[in-house]
Amino acid sequence: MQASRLTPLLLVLPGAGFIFVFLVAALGMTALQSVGLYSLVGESRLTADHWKSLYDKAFFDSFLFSFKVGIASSFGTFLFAYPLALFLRRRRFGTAVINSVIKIPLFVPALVAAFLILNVLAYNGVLNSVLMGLGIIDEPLRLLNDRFGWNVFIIQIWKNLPFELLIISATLQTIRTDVEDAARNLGAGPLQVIWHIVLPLSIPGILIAIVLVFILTFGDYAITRVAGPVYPSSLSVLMYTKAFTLQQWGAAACIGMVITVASLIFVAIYARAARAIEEMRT
Amino acid sequence: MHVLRLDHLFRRYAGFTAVDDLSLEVQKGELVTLLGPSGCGKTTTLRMVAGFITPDGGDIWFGAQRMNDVPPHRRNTAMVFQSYALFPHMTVAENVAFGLRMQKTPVDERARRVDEALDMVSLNGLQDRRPAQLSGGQQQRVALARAIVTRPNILLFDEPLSNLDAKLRVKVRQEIRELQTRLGVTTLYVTHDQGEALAISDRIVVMNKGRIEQIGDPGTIYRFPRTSFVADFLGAANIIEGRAFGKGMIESPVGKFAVKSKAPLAEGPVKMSWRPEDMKLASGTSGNSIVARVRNVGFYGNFTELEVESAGHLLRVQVDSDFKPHVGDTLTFTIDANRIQIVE
Repeated sequence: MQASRLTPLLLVLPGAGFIFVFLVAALGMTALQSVGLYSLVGESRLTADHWKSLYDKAFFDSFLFSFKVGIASSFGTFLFAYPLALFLRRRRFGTAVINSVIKIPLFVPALVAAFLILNVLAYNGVLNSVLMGLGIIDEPLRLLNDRFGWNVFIIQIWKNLPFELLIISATLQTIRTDVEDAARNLGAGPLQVIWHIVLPLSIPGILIAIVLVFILTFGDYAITRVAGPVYPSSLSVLMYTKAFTLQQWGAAACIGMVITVASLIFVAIYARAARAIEEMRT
Repeated sequence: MHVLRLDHLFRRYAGFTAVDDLSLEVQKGELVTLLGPSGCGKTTTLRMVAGFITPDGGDIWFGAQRMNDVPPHRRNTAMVFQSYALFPHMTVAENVAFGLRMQKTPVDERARRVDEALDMVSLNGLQDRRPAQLSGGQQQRVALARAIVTRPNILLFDEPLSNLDAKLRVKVRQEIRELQTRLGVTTLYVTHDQGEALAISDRIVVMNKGRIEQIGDPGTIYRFPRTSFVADFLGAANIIEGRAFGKGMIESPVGKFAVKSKAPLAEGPVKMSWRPEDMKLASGTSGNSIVARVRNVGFYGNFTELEVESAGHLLRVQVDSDFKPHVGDTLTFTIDANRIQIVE
């Protein structure tokens, strides 16, 4: 008798409950550990010491590095993904092949991706060999573990390109062709159609793609660990080092909070921007 | 002087021919309607004129210029789309100004002409609204203003009224016609609605399966259909097969008829067509009469439509709505010889 009323609840509970319990429990514990409570090692007492311990150059360098990787990777990926999405929008010669090849990085785990690209970018790797063979450079370029993190950007873009492409392509699909036809009919050339019509109408999708890739890359561990600079490390790498190498679990918890809160702030900025765009249209 | 000339236009898609050897001239200031059922090639033809579809054969001429290889944005046509295709991220004024912006019209002239165009479609005061905030009828007017503001060589309409309710449709089509006449702009108009075509056009091009069935002014097309398809598509028609014999006489299952055909009739099988309103009630069986039994009575207010049966053929008849026959009644009708058309 009550079964029909319970059905929606039964459908929601496993998934939502799973997320909720682990989210609240895990975030709550981490938050408490960051202020010294429920400590995994040593005594538990309320303290700001862990937070204070973050106040050093290594932490700020890591934060800046992760932030830089996040911004550069998400926008860099966009610069590659958007033109490609525009090209793939219409069926034409070669799009089927490009479409399937381009998705491969989606199925390659980040760590594996890092190792694969490593072979290309390494000191004695494919890229340097080719460039030297062609006589473009005399000495191999140091692309790996460089201070700036070029290799990290390259691998992140490679890894996230299909992901952004999927989101942006889905957005482009929602733009009606007759709206573009109307623009062409009114005198807009191909580039003007993109600039005045397609680009503005795809901004919601672009925002989602950039924010999601930012969050993914901001919290990256594997790629920075394999191909990133020795110093500074990314926030996730720093967190791991604090916890497992230095046994500073409290400080690690603080970094965990920083990563989570920074990501949430970006989601909030995204949501605000998306709403502003939506309001602008109605 | 023609503004638009389509010369043996041809377009194939995988598996079927959308437009088959279509030739047409549209004169300056004329409103020509392409009328036909869906899939007849009328929209494909319109889109070839706009440049969205490339013909597989034949030529498109705007005046003395061959347009086949000119891209859509250099054709100076303006199209009103079935979906209106307004730019959702722009205001009404920005939508209307878009074509002028693309033409690099100076800003002050642009503003003046946008106001002028919005005036013409009575949308003043809605400049800053977004399309999503407008009713269907208002969106339609924005689409119209956006099209005329650029002063196109040719105005194109693709079923512009099909998303409006019946009353609004009649109102807007009158407005479109008034505006088109006032501006004197050459217009190609696509519709599947015969009433719309008859009301709005200088000439109608009836299309079927990619081919032109007949071209003519609305009166001619309605009164003198050349084929049974045209007769049936424009209003209802009764089409009966018979045999011609003697001088303008036709023998058919429903009766013998004298007809006044323009061309002399060769003896042999022919098709006759007449309108439901051409069948008049008669008292006795003299010439050109049909005796039929009432099968169905439909009251439409200003007239009554009967479905009657004669010798196994169903016929449609329009009678005065004061006349109230019953199903099963036997009635006699007569048809004026002038009203019987011989069709292909």
